[in-house]
Order: sequence, then C-alpha cells, then structure tokens
Amino acid sequence: MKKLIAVALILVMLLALAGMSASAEGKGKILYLSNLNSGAQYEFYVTYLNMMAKELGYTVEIVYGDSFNDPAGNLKNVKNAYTSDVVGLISCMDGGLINIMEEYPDMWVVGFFSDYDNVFNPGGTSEGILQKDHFLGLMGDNYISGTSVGEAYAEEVIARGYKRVSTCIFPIYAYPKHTEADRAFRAYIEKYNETAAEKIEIVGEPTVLNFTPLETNYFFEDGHDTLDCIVGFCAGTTFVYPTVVEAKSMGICNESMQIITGGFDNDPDLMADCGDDKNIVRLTTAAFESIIWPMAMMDAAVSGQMYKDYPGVERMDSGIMTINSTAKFEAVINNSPMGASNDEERLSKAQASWEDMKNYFTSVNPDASYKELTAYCQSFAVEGYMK
Amino acid sequence: MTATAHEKERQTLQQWLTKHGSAVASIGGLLFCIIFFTITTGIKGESIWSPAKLSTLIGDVIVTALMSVGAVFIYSLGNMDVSIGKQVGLYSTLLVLIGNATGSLLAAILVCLLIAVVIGVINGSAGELLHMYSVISSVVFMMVLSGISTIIYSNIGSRNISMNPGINLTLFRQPWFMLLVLVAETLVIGYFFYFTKFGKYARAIGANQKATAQSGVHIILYRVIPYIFLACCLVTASLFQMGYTGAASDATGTGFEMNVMVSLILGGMPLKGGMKSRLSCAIIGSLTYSLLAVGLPIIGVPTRLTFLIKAAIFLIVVLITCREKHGVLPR
Repeated sequence: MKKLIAVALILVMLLALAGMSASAEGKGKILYLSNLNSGAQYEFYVTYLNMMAKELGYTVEIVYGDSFNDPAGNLKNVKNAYTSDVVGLISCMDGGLINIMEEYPDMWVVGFFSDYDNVFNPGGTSEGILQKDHFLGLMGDNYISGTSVGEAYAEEVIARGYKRVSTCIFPIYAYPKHTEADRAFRAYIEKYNETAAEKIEIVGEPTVLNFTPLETNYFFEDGHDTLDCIVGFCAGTTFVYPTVVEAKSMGICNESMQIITGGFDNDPDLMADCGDDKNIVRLTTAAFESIIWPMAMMDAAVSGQMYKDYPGVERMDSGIMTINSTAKFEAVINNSPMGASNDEERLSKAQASWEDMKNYFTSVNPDASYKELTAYCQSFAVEGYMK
Repeated sequence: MTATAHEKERQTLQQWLTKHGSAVASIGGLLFCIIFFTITTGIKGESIWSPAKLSTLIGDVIVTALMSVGAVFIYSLGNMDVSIGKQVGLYSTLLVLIGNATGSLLAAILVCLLIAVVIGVINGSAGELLHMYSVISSVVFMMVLSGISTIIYSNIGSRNISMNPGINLTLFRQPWFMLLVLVAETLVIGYFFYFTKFGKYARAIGANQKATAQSGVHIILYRVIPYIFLACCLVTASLFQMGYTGAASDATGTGFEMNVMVSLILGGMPLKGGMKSRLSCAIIGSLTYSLLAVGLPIIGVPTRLTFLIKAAIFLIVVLITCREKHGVLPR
C-alpha cells in the first residue's frame, strides 16, 4: 500500500508540473547562467532580469553554472536547459563558453559578474570566442584589474591608520587577479612608507587559501596575533571572517583587528558586524543594478538594433559598491534591494526603475548610445541608496 | 480453478514480486519517464526525441553510464568507491597533458590505464589485507588525487586546460559513437558479470563473504578483479568526459561518485550487493536520471525545481527499494 501511495505521489507531482509549466512567448527565452544560487544578490538579479524581460517581451530561465566553473559541467547544464526558443545567454561563467558557442552558434552571448580570464587572458580555454560575432562583451565583477583592487584596498588601509596588516588570496592558478592585487597593494604601501612618518608593516607573504577557511592557528604564527587588519582579496566574508570572530573569542589575536574584503553576504549576523567599529570595515562588490548592461546588450543584438556606437567586444568594470562606513552599511541594509524580503520591495529599492532605464535600450529608443548605457551602468554606487 | 490453486498462484506472484520488486520498480520508473516525457514534450512542441535533444540526452548520460556499468561490479561486492570522481578528473587532465605533449591520445590512454589499474589493485586488496572497510582506501585515494590535481593545476597556473586543436576529438562528441561504446562496454562487462566466475564470485562475496571463502574462493583476488574492470571503465568515461569539451579542469569529476550512486540506486541496485545485483541497474538508472535532467526543462520546469524533483524521486525510490533492517549501506 505504501509503495502504491509513493508511486501515485510521483505521478501527481509530475503531472502537476507538466500542467503548471509556462510556455515561452514573445521575443524568445534568455538563459542566465548564474554563478550564484541563493542569497540576496541572486534573488535581486533574478527579479530584476525578469522585470526587464517582461517589459521587453522575453522570458528568462535561470541555469546554475557548475560550482567549480568546469567546462563540461557548464556545457551540460546549458544544453539541458536549451530549448528551441532560446535566443541568448547571459553568462556569469566562462568555463566551457567556447563549447557552448560552438554548440549554439546562433545564440547571442554576453558576460556579466565574472572576470572571464578564460576568455580574455592569452591562452585561455575559451579565448576563441573573441573571434565570434555573437559574443557581445563583458561587464565584470567590480574592478577587472587586480591592480585597481590592490590600490583601492591600500588606500583604505592608509586612511584607517592601520600599522600592521596581512593579506589573504586564493591560489594564482584559480584567481590570478588576487596575486596581481596583492602585488599592487604591497607596492602602494611601500611607496607610502617612503614618506610616511609612521610606516605600515605588511606581515609576511600573502596567505594562500585553497578554497578553505583561514585556520585558527594562523594567529599563532609570528606577528599575526598583533595584526590591525587582514586584507582579504579572496571572499573574506566566507573564508576569513568566521576565523577572526573565533580567534577573538579565544583571545588569540588583537581585539581590535578588522577586515577589508570583497563580496556581499546578507546574513543578518554578519551584516550586524559591519561598520567602522565592527569586524568588517569594508566590502567591495559589483553594483547590483549593473545587470542592466548585459540585458540591454542582449536586447540590442536579438532585436537587430545594435548600438550605432558599439565599438566591439570590451571587458569593463561594473559599477562599484564601496561599502566602507557605518552609514553606508546601514544604507545597503535598509535602503537597497539587499535588505528586501520580496520581489516588489526589491524592485522598489533598486536605484533604477524600468522608467529610468528604458531609454538606454535600443528596442525602446533606437538612438540609445552604447557609451551612455555603459556609463549609466557603471555609475551605480552605494551613495545611490543614501539619498 | 480451486481456491487452493488461486492461493498458490497468489503466493507465486508474491514471491516473484518479492524477488524482482526493485527491478519492476526501476524499469517501471524508466518506462514511465519515457512515456511521460514523450507525451508532455510533444504537447510543448519540442519532442525529447528530436535529434538535437536526443543528442543532448546521450551526451548527458554517457559518462555516468560508462562509470556506472563498471561500478556495478564494485557495488555487487557490497563495496563502494568514492574516488571515482577524482580518478576521472585526474585521467581527464592526464589525457590533455600527455595528449598535448605527444600529439597522440594513445600514450595518454595507456598511462591512465596503468594508474587506474594500480589504484584499483590497492583499493580492491586494501580492505581485506588491512581488515578495514574498502571504502576507507577509496577515501584516501580521493584525498591523494585531489592533492595531485591541485599540484598539477598550480604548476600549470590555470584552472582549465584544453587539448591542442591538432588532436581531433569530434568522434567523442558523436552520439552514435557514444552509444556504440556504451553498448560495447555493457556487453563486455555483462559477459564477465554474468557468464564468468569473476561476476559470480563478486556477487557471492557481496551476498556472504564467509561462505564464499569457505567454498575455496580466493577473496582478495576476486575482490581486486572487479576494481580492474572499474578502472578500465573509468578511463573510457574520462575519454568522453574530456572529449566532450576538449578540456579538463581542477574540478572535472567532482561529485561523479554521487552521480554513480544515485544512478545505481534509481536503477534498483541493492546497496549491500549480492546475488540480486544486476548490470541493467546502471543503464536504467543513468538513463532515468538523464531523462529527468533533459526532460524537465523542456516542459518548462524551472531549474531550481528540477533539483527538488530529482531529490524527491530519489528519496521515494530509496524508500521503495532500499529499506532493509540491517546492512543497507555499502562497506
């Protein structure tokens, strides 16, 4: 009897699913190959994309990228989700992108929220897509250049008056940008020290985290117990912050030590620990509304109304959210879509509504300019939530 | 017909169902998926049996099916190998590196086979020789291979590597070739599994190792041989895994051991091994799993929901086929 009920449950579930599924209509379906699968940022991207797609006459299907950016994993996930009405792919992953474009040569592809090292770095496995006319370019995940990240973090260290700092990075084979950022950071501090009355000491070489959290015994190593700040070029909220909290509770590190890092996490406990006098003093992440750029590029290509001033494929910075004061953290938590609990609130808290952005889309405004679109998408910043 | 005859017939049917219940459930599940997706994707105007989707389906199923066919031998022993994913990752990487260095896949295949056999021999014998669960040695290999992979990619300075365009891999992307190799591998493994003492002893060891040993069977030898079969299947699967994109990465193979386990369970494989182990579990399970992966998006089910549905179906199948009071887990 139990088995019969189980089988009947499967039947009911599948039939219900078949009934509820919606068919694509309008201009076609856009796949969004996401590198996130949960969290406030992910929820906002999905909501915002769906809003734009609805206004423009598309449907959006979310496809989860391989969590390790494996080429075969990404290809398989896209192939499984592909249906005949798919017209484009907004991809936050670059592993296997060349294979995806070779499999679907008529599908437009635009990059977002990733560095695309496999595409833009010489010898990258997806380098070949630069020669394909259906690739539209990339708006990255905050700064594209590691040097810019390193210098920005060095300025923060100097401004906050830290005297003893250390750095954490991911392995160079996975994130070469982190190593570049670390070098730039050290060079900037070294130059500052040439004229500074009180020098800043960078303690030791960068600690390479092999996608595992910083270990507590880090603070038993020479000089780490008296650090003023850890600069995490890696995802410090996940890989550095928990260890620092633990170390402080154990009393094995400087009580006033703070963290400068990137990424965003809307975990309430973590966000409550961000601010001038808290454990995390700075987060840098891509401006959330920058996702307008890939959607506008996709719409222009699919509509056959490409921007007249489009110069060809580019890799560029997104809008940059530098959240480095208590007021800014509060603005993000209270006034931005990151603190929203439903789609309506997410859309109402975004810095740009459809009315604000629509004239940057060529299918709405044929005279729209690529340069203006790019500048608009790069203009979003945390200050926009403080008005 | 008398009441006694009716009773006998009912008992015979009940006995047959007890013996073949999981096979009926798994084949029934596959047939249901085939019929369901044939109808629903047809209604949607995008048949799952269209050449493009069929190619996607075969591409999705091939690597898991090739691995699962080999893994049937291991599961029939009542063992499991959690280093499968990392092995495929390493072999894919070596195929690219050695292939690029020598300009040919042959040398790379031979090197991979050699490594796979050595790992298989150690995995197969360690449990018996060191008196521990065999899965422990595979955990050790999983960690060691993960470390080796990290060292290789650190030295290369990249997370992804690709095969030189000079080596033609299009054959490995052809659905007919994938099917051909899968059929060939299934026939070969099927022959050894059903018609030779290797398969018979493997199942006997899974059913009752003590009784098998007392019958004069060399336990270590007949534990090692299944791992050698698996080794050959893993290298074959790695060829298709790498050939699919012509690339490998430090993440290639991650989680494949779970794909194999899920496929075998969906196919009705008894996790404790033994005489009820069937080779068809590998094909039925991996095909059912891929049908769900390819079919659900066509009928418009959001990606997020497909994971939930697959998990729910897996749970239900486990509840139907794998509930035992004792000894349900592999060793």
